[in-house]
Amino acid sequence: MRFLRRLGQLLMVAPPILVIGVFVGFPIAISAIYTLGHLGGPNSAVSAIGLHQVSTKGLFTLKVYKDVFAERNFQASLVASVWVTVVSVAVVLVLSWAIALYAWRTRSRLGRALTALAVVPMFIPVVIASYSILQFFSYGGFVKTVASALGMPHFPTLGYSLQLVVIAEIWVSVPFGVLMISSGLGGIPPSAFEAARDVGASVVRATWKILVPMNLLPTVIVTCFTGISVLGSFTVPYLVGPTTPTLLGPEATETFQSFAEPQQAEVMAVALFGLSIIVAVPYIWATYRANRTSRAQAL
Amino acid sequence: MSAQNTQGLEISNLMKRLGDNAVVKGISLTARRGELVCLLGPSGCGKTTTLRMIGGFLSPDSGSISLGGLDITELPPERRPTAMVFQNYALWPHMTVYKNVAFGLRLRRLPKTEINDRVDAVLKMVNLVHAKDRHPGALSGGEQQRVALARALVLEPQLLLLDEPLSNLDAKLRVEVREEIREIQQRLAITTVFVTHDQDEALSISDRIAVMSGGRIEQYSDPDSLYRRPESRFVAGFVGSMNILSGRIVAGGITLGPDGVFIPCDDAVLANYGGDGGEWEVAFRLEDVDVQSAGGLTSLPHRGSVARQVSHGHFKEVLVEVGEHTSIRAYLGPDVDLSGPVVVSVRRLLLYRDGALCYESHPASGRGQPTGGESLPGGAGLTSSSPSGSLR
Ligand SMILES: Nc1ncnc2c1ncn2[C@@H]1O[C@H](COP(=O)(O)OP(=O)(O)OP(=O)(O)O)[C@@H](O)[C@H]1O
Ligand SMILES: [Mg+2]
Repeated sequence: MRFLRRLGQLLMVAPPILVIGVFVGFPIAISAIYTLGHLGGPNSAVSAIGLHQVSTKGLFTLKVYKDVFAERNFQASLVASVWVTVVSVAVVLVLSWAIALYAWRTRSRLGRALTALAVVPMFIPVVIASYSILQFFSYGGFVKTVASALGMPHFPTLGYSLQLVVIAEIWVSVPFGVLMISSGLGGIPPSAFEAARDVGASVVRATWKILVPMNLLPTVIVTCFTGISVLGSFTVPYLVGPTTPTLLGPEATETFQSFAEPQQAEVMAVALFGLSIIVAVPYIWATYRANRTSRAQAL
Repeated sequence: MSAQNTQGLEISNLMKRLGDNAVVKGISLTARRGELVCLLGPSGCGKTTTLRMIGGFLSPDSGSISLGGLDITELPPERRPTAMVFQNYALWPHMTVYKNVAFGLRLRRLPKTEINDRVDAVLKMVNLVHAKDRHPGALSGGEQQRVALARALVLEPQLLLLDEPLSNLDAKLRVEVREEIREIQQRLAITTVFVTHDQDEALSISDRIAVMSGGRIEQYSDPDSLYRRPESRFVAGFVGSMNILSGRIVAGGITLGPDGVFIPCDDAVLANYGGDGGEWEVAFRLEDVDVQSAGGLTSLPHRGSVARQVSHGHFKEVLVEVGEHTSIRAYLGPDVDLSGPVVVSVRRLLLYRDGALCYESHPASGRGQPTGGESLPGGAGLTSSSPSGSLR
């Protein structure tokens, strides 16, 4: 009886697991062995078009990894990816907290308006936004025109630079940040903050010691999700960023399409995957901790 | 305590407008050092608003607040020598009980050992040593309340502010905890402002009570005189149970209600004072009503019948219909026989006109007074159910 019930439960969750296994897990596994030098079998189609491939007769070889990581371009792009991610996440966090905190503290109409306004980018397709940002900052764009009119003809243009990638990534990510942080803050009673002031904490200290820890999970979620989305972004760096160094997304795509090196491109994808896992660690830790404390509180 | 001088809290003419409402309309109040003062009033009368201004969470539109002789009106909350216990306790869920209590001391950069000692001492005082390392989520309501109290007390504030600190507790615990609070407050001789809308609570723990209504203080006095001598019609109706009926003064008593029912009252001065023929609002406590079996005296005009009685165990509350449209509530002993017609008389009453107290009668002695003088003990033989100062 018990066994049958167990089997029934297992059958109920089987379809989604099966779908994920077949359409995600299996291709990942195949790509992984492809990067390790196995060109035959399910990889024979892709290896038929690939240039500069490495194959092995043994269990595996790490030669492709060594080659790719030794490449200057790739190194530069790896560094650029990390740099853009770190800066974007930091700015998004600061902006989201500032806006959400302002709205929470003042409960004013301006605060609510700011929060609402900050969410607007979510409704604008990334392609369109990227083009407008590029237009705005590039040579002959709005910023440059205004600068010239004000007598600064040599004002720098940001078109096709990593800085512009950061700006565009911030534009894309701030809505999610503000939504998360402000809804998290919304769940904190004002008296928790006032109680800290009451026992002698300044506004800054009460924010840092009370509000931030009480709003930790949303903050970690924003950090990790923004980090992963920036790391893996394609449209923004492809449209507004430089050709090289660029982020790993466009870099891998170019390696695959322009240089016809699928094996190398997949190594880059693996590197991207590895970075994303690192970024995801705090999220897993925070949800685990939140689960544990909420269970402790339920007791 | 840290205060060197003997001055307590002094509030003068505090006003606050929130949005479109004038919420606090000129409140003046003083509390001596070590005194526990209750702000008592119906919901929405501005109690919390007043308390938040004292704590520094709201700045008054006008008026001033001083503590220990120092004007603190402009100080931010973190620089006021006040400590507040919030209605929802406002404990920090990410800190243990110990850390919640120690937070304020840490901000003051005290040495670790001193922090430890002081936190331990205060946790012992509120009986929470066993819960030291638990998080607030793992505490019962009463324990959380005591953590909030400990967090405020550990700073040895000059002024303790409590905003309905007991409203989330069940009835039995509420009585227990309020006694604990009172005991600690008296032991530490800490000036305290206690907000509540529960008159029972206010009467049983306060040194003085400020009854508030519509952003103003209606009366500020000790519990006994508040109960025995409400200075306004509002306070008479708000504090304790009271019969309030319109009536006229006649020889030997009063005539009440639209029926003009005669109720005797043994007060020689009453007729002299109130006999101007005009209408009064007559108020008398339930324990000041005498109800007796009419027996053979069937011809008396103030004969009534008991319409309803509710037993409270050691006494009962009865509703006597003395006229077609007039009824009087009374507290009686548990053994009084009330079948058949009854006669009603009043031992002690208060007269109000235009909302203000004009006359206070005194029983037995037949010596009444136009507002003022000592109250005599009333309600002989009856245990008052209703909150009275004597319960303390
Ligand atoms: N931000 C605000 N804007 C406008 N009116 C407000 C605001 N805050 C409170 N009020 C009003 O002020 C009045 C007094 O509020 P307050 O919280 O001081 O009442 P209270 O006496 O503590 O009542 P309760 O016993 O229900 O806690 C209420 O009528 C309330 O509606
Ligand atoms: Mg209130």
